[in-house]
Amino acid sequence: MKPILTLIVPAAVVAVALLALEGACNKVGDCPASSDIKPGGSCEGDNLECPFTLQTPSLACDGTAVEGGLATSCICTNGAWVCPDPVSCEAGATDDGAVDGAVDGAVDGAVDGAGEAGGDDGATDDGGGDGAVESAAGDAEAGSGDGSTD
Amino acid sequence: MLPNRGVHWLFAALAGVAMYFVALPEAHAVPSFSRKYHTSCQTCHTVYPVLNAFGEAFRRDGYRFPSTDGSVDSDVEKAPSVELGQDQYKKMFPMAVWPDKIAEAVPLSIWLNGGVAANLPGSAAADGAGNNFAWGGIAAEMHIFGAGSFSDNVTYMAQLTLETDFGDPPGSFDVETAYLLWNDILGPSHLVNLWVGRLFAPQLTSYGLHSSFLSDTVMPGVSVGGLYNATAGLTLGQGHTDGVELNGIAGHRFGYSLGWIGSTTAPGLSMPNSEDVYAHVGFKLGGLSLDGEGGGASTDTQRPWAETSLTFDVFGYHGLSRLDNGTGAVPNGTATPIQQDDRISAVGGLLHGQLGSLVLMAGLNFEHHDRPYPGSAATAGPNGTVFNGVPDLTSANAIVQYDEVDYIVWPWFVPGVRAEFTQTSVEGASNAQLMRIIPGIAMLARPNIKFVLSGDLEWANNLPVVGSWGPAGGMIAPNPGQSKFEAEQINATVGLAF
Repeated sequence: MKPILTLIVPAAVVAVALLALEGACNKVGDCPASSDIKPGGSCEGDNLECPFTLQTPSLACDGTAVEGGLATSCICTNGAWVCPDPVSCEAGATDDGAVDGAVDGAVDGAVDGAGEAGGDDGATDDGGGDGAVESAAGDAEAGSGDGSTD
Repeated sequence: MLPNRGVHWLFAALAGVAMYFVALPEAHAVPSFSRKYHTSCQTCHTVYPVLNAFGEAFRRDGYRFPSTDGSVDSDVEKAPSVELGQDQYKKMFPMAVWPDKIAEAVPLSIWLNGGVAANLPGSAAADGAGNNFAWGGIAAEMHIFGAGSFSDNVTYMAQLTLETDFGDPPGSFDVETAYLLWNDILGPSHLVNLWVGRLFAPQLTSYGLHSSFLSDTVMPGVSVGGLYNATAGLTLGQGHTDGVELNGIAGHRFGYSLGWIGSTTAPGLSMPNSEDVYAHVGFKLGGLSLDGEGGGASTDTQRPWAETSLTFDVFGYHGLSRLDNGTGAVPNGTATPIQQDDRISAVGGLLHGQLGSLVLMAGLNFEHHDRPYPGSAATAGPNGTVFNGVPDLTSANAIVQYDEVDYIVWPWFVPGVRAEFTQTSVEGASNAQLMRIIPGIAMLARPNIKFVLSGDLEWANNLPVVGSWGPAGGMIAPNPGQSKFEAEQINATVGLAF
């Protein structure tokens, strides 16, 4: 009996340890090229932050656009890219409302956009991206109102 | 160019203070193991906490006396204990709780540590501290140890630490060590042991954490990740990590350890899955065997610490450090921590030799980091919006090399010199390098009162990414892209154990 236990116990310990170690690995992920990131598109990696070029009006809201885009980043959140919204230069948005709306809009837009695209991967480039941006912009405006009343 | 004035100060002070401490009046001290076995600190230590060959064997054996002629640990235990259950309960198991025992007296001991530094005039150390000498730090740490055994194969070690700049918040008590050692689980003695809890240190070599006479730890306290990002948490081979370690000794002279411990994270970020793992193997030629039971004990009654031996150790380490890459921080504004997971791979080795009273150590670590760099800062947009900066996902490499030579002139007087070299890559620039030379003397005024006087000479070429050599223990501040040599400090540290 003892020789059997001598074999089984270490083998079981090693097996359990290997299983535990495999499950314990963090999903670090790898960044795709910046041009391959579509807001709302699918991604891998827990909170992986990757470089992204945002096409946006100037931060100064002077009627121009940021030349070449604004160097910023997107974060892989729950399997989808969450990216910043373009600058909103509309008057009347409060600070809180603008931020909340932007975040909510980005997430909602990502989900909506992916759903509308309905592709195998959850989001085609065009459908996912456009849907995300459009929905984000729309929700951001609504969010502004919500924020101002809170 | 040598900083003559600093070197002169350093050696004059070494000689003077050494003589003073030798003349201190007698004191008594008996920490936990001394109380348990009714023996002196010198049974296991030279200048504590450095262990002699017997003390290292005692530590590797799971804080148990090496067996002689089939003896078990309790055969040499002198302190009375209280049985928790009767021996017959073992036969009744699982119908009864397996019995063990506790020490009759609470097995506590206290260590007090402190130190002061003379920051040499004109040095970066003086510039940083804003003074040349201050008494602050003379009483810096208090450790309360509890250690002992529950049976002949289950032992424990716990350490509660109050440190003026440590703990959360600083100045509060912190459980620095608390682990259970289940020894001799399978097979021959010492072959398979399982240690669980907040370990004293991950065993990446065959030697204890504090095996340097002149530095706090045998492996330099260099946080390679910290040279890139101030929020990095890992310092390879350092102590007090939560996890589990399987270790053992085969054939008296071959040792191994396999560990799984917690990964590190920056403040404000979630704790990642624990994925730090390591493996280590070591082999000792000559001298007392690793477990103290395979022969080779010194027969020199005048110099019981002396032996002729050579120990080889190699290790591999894989880990993850969760950083705040700073891309959520607006300059002079808000700072939202942004997660960046930096995977770490390291390999290293240590050669530890002893020739009579001459002790030599040489170690080398290679450390690769996947993503240690901080990114660019965030940009503030209109209406309070924030656009995160851009992460920098460049990888980095570092080399940490260390050497130490000590000579045990008398069991209470050990002069030596230590060197620590760190080289780290810097994106877009030449490598940054730091060399620290630490000459010094470790002394015992009594078995439980120690004093270490050491100097710190530094040479650096370039600066690491973080802009300071602090995470490598250095203070020197050369201009970027330039090199500099400077004498920084004379350090005096004291310790009491009772």
